[in-house]
Amino acid sequence: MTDGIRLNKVYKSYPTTPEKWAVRDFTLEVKNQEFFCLVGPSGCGKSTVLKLIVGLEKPTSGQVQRPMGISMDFQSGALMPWLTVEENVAFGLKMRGDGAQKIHDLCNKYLEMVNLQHFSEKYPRELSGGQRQRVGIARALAVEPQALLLDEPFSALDSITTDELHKDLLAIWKQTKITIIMVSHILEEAVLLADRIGVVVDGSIRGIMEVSMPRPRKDSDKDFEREAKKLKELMV
Amino acid sequence: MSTVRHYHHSFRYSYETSLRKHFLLIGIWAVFIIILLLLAFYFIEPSRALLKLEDLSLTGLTLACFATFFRLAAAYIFALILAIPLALFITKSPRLEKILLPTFDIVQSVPVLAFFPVIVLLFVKVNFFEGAAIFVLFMAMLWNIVFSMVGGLKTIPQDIEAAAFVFGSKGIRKLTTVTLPAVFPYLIMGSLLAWGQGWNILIVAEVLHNYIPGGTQSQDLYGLGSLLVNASYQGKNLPFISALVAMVILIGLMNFFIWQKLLHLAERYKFD
Repeated sequence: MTDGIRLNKVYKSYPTTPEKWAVRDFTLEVKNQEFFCLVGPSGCGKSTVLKLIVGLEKPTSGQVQRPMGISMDFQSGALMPWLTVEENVAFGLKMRGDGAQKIHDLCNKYLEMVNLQHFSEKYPRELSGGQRQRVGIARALAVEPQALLLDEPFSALDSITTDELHKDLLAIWKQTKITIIMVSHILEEAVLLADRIGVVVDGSIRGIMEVSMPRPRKDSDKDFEREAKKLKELMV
Repeated sequence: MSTVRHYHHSFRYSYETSLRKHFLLIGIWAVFIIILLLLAFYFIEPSRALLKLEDLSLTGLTLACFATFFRLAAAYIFALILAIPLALFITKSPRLEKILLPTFDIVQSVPVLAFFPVIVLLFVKVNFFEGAAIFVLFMAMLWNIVFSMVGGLKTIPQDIEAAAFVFGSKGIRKLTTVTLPAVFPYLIMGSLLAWGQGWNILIVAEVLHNYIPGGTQSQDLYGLGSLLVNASYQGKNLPFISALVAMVILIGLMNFFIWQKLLHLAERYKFD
């Protein structure tokens, strides 16, 4: 098992008429502990790539190499409404068969990391969109994966909440030193967060851009506009 | 931030705790009812009670309520045990669903009473009269639960299915930790409709003598349904009204103590 994530000439089609290629000739290597973003227009195959990486979908051809521990957060949070916040965070740990004390300690640790330690008895319906997203992230981190996949986690949130979560995500990434692959359709978000950005068009990687700006980054920086413009040019 | 309180405070337990608690309560009630029923049948001979309706006492009426409830509950449990795997099987693949769903749609629209005489004769042959009633009630209840559950299975969000996969919830564990909780509101609605169907069919299910060649009232099963029919047939107004009022009270009690609480609990399981 590799530490990084590799996709080698991956193709994925669906049995529709006519046959639809969601991903074609997709080759990508994401290094260990890297923050990588996939951007592209809607329907270009970004989410399908994530599903291939985590194993939700099998490639039609090609190879996918992934680390042992891989976890995912979803756009909607995908929280179980009948479970409390703590039970949602504990979900993966219970499936793994961890002991009660270990589960409790890990839940506390990651709920503190996302600043929701006082919300452990609440149900998802009692939380705001941003809080649900934090719980989703805590659940994904609680299994202590080597890689974390995020499928447009902030697209349903307002800009203020998104800015807060951006800062929190970067802090968590710095603390946990895991590999992150995030899908986004917002170019500015990718420039703000990622080490490298892959542009996906029609199921293939059009190009990869390295973001040379040092962190912390602000969208008011003069270099920011230049990087965002470079990225837009790659997409055209 | 104000707390949005959708649930009664008594349901603010963890999922596992409340599931255990509710099943324990159901189990205790079931044992209690069965014990009462067995004791009552020991002291009263139900077959003679239907012939002497003028002697119908409160004890006899209560026994009839328990007997009817017991039959409906037994039929419901069998229906639930079959409906869950049936619904899961139907939705296993789009191809299966295309074939099975219309098939079962046709099967469920065939009136169960159309083949009731055959069923009765089969059970009479093995001297198991209760089986005939429970089977008919079971067939009446089954399809409501199946189709409600199929509807519920199709509304489970894809993200939830994906999350279950990502976090290692598979097979039976996925069934108990994700699938069944996700369809719980639909199961409750289906069960409500199923019991409604059961009450509808009850009058026929307990009155077996009409379907047995040379049958007599002594072959009817003692319960609210047979009390209503036999009181009506014998022109006994007081037992008829008593049985009707008892049925209404029983349905009302079930609604208050069981269905309302389950419907309230089901709110917790609904996706936004």
